[in-house]
Amino acid sequence: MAEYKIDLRDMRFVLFEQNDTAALSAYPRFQDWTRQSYDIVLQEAEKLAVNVLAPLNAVGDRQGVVFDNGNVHLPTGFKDAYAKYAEGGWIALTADPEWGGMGLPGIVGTALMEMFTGANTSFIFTPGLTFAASHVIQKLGGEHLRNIYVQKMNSGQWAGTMCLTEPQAGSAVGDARTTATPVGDGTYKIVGNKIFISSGMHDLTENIIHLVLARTPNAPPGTAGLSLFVVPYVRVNSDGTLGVENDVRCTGVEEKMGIHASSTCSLSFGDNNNCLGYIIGNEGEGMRHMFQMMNEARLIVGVQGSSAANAAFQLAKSYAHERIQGTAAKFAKSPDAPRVPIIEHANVRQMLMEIRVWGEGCRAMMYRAAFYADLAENAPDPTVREKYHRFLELLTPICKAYGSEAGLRAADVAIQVHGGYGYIREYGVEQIMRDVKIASIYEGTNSIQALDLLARKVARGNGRDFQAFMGEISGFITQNLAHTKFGKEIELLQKAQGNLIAATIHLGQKSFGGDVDYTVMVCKPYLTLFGHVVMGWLLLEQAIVANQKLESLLAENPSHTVDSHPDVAFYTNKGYLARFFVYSIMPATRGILSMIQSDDRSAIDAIL
Amino acid sequence: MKILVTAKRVTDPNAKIKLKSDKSGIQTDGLEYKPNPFCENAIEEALRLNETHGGEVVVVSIGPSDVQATIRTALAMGAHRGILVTGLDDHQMDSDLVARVFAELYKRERPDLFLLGKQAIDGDSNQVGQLLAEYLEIGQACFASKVEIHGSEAIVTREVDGGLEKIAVGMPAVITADLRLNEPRYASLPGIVKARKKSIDEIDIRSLGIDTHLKVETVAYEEPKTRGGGVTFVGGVDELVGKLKSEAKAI
Ligand SMILES: Cc1cc2nc3c(=O)[nH]c(=O)nc-3n(C[C@H](O)[C@H](O)[C@H](O)COP(=O)(O)OP(=O)(O)OC[C@H]3O[C@@H](n4cnc5c(N)ncnc54)[C@H](O)[C@@H]3O)c2cc1C
Repeated sequence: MAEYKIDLRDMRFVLFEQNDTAALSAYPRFQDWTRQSYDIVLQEAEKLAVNVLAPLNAVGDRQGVVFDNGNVHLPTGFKDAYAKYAEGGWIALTADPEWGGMGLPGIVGTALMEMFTGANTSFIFTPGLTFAASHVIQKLGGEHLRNIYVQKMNSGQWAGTMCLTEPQAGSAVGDARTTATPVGDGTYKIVGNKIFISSGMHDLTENIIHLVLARTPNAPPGTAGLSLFVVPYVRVNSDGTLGVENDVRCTGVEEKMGIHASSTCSLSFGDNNNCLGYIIGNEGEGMRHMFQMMNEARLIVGVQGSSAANAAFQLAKSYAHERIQGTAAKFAKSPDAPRVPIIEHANVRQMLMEIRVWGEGCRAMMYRAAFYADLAENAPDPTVREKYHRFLELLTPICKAYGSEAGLRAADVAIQVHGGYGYIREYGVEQIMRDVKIASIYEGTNSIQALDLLARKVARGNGRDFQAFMGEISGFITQNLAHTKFGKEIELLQKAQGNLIAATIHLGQKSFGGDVDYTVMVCKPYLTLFGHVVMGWLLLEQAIVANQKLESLLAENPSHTVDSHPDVAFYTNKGYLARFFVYSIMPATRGILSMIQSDDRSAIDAIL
Repeated sequence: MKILVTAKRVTDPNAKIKLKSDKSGIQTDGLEYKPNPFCENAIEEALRLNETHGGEVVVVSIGPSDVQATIRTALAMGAHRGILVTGLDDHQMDSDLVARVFAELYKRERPDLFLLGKQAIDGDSNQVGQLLAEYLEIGQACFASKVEIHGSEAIVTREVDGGLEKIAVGMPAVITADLRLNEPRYASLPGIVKARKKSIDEIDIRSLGIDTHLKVETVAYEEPKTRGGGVTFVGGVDELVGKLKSEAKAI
């Protein structure tokens, strides 16, 4: 059976050495947290992930969910695990303590989500969506809704969902037809069908609180006509006790490629015209409020990608050390040469480094985005808050799309490292690939992310935010161009950044010239190009931080070697990893630029 | 009821342990530590006894200031306060010295029960509880798989060779925990937040006024022999029996 391992050392490196998470305690919101308490949190989360969630991962995959006449049963063990998870306070990691949250910084929450998601991706849907939904209610729902729902959701007593998708309204959320008709007392009657709703029905909690996008009478077409409603499965009395069922029915669950232990449900609201919904904010604000939830959810989907890559790396690495096959290349012609573990084959090492770079590079990207969110919410200076808010907005679609694709690619390469055994269920690595594929699709497909990046985030204010963000990377480059160890690689990063800027300018001209289709055609490669530059930047930053640490470690005790101190190997590897990325992956930025500058419209003009 | 309970940290069982080049000990630079699993059982039992009988659970440990983190984890599980005896490195103690330190803490704290893990999974000595009871001249029940309190007695089920033994010890007593005693809880996030404000007293070992010399002298550490290659028997049962007799001397 595949064993789930977590690289706590690298997590701590990103949390405390690359980003100064401990310094966040200076902000009133985080004053109760110390470095020592973070360490205990990481240690306990690791136990929970490894001992409680991971053992259910393969079981859940095999058993799947069972639809039974409107009810949905999750696989054996999930209910107990959920109870443990909720009891430990792991649902509302970053929410206000006043509302039953734990008040952790987002960057620490991200590390914990990575551990849990890597341990059991299916499991994490219910707590993840519950927190996302409770967070919207807490921030935007008004006092009445807040008081009824938030605490009970954050404690795990009730679960939550987000309901956007309908058969005719997938990427085009604005085509939703579910209706909400005012009853006259401030509440609405909801009628319609939603599909693909994660955790839409399950047997983990006594109530499920749906957040539903629906259209009010005479509302304008498109997203502007949508409003957001709290729609409980069981109605809640004003004293918080459970009342009667609310005319919400689960009509089926999907059979899927992966995440078999997550229920993906079709829901029917108001079959008997007796489904009550409670509006969040005002009519017509639905999409805006839903975005509050979706932006956070998009980062979490990116984390799904990085956690898959890291889990895949751990499996592939252990396997490569154990599997004996073939001889060293230089002995290929002598049949008696000793057989070696495949980790000694250079091509296998190349594959392992690729998996590792997706895992550790995307980890750095996700934590950095979360760190920006922490600064955007807590820095005392409003201009600083604004700056990081914009960086976060720019990074969000990249985290989601680049992260999910990195996860898929890493899982694919990890299967390859295993050879035939990778294709066999028992080894656990093919499940990672099946489970992570969905991350490219939901929460807005990766194409929708790329369009968001290009058309909204980069184009905004005539490229103002884009320029500011490029300035941040340029600052790092200028500061380190003369670096004795990594100067050359920094120069290559500068070239890669140049490729990104050139591609951005070219696409800007194309759009001005009216060829919108061309921009849409290459939006995804553009996002990948952008992601490569962010990765190169963060990995080189890691290499330089690690190099400093290594130098001070050796200054303390020059006799330290890879064998005598684990950090010597750790810090040295950071340099190798950055170089690997710079020389093996980052050159792709040049190719993508050529593609973007080619003006070739074959895909548009071809007869398909 | 007042309980003293130990929280020793041990080298991460997943870490690769390497010896110093002069073989005087293991390399500790950059080594990761985890709570000793048997101590976790002891802590869990202390917390459960506390839940039914009230009182106080005090977590004790010995080592450098970093060991605070191990105590803090126990506080996050629900223990009330901690005592850390400093001035010694993890690898500068033997079981006897540890027992003498705990005996002194016992005299200062006067608990009803002193709970320990039956052994630490790094040194595997399995001596501290026994020595401690002896120094204190109080009853001991080692390898506990069940503990019940009846009045002034602890009824302890012990895991012994070939089965279980149930004994009663008068309190105060020393009890050491076996793995089957319970399933230790995980610290909850609210517990971790609360633990930050709980006190951990640091006491320098020199201020305890005890004899601190070691009774065990370490001559050298050796790596375990790496396992030799296996042998395939093709000659059938007779050859196998023959080799087991003549070469392996197993029968
Ligand atoms: C397992 C699972 C769980 C899900 N969970 C939830 C959930 O909890 N809540 C929820 O509301 N939904 C959920 N979904 C739905 C998911 O968000 C949608 O499937 C997704 O948004 C894509 O919509 P679609 O499937 O209709 O694809 P379509 O929108 O039909 O897209 C098909 C293709 O066309 C492209 N495309 C579509 N429109 C455009 C455009 N305007 N410009 C460029 N390209 C375009 C897409 O990128 C995609 O490649 C889930 C789906 C699955 C499979």
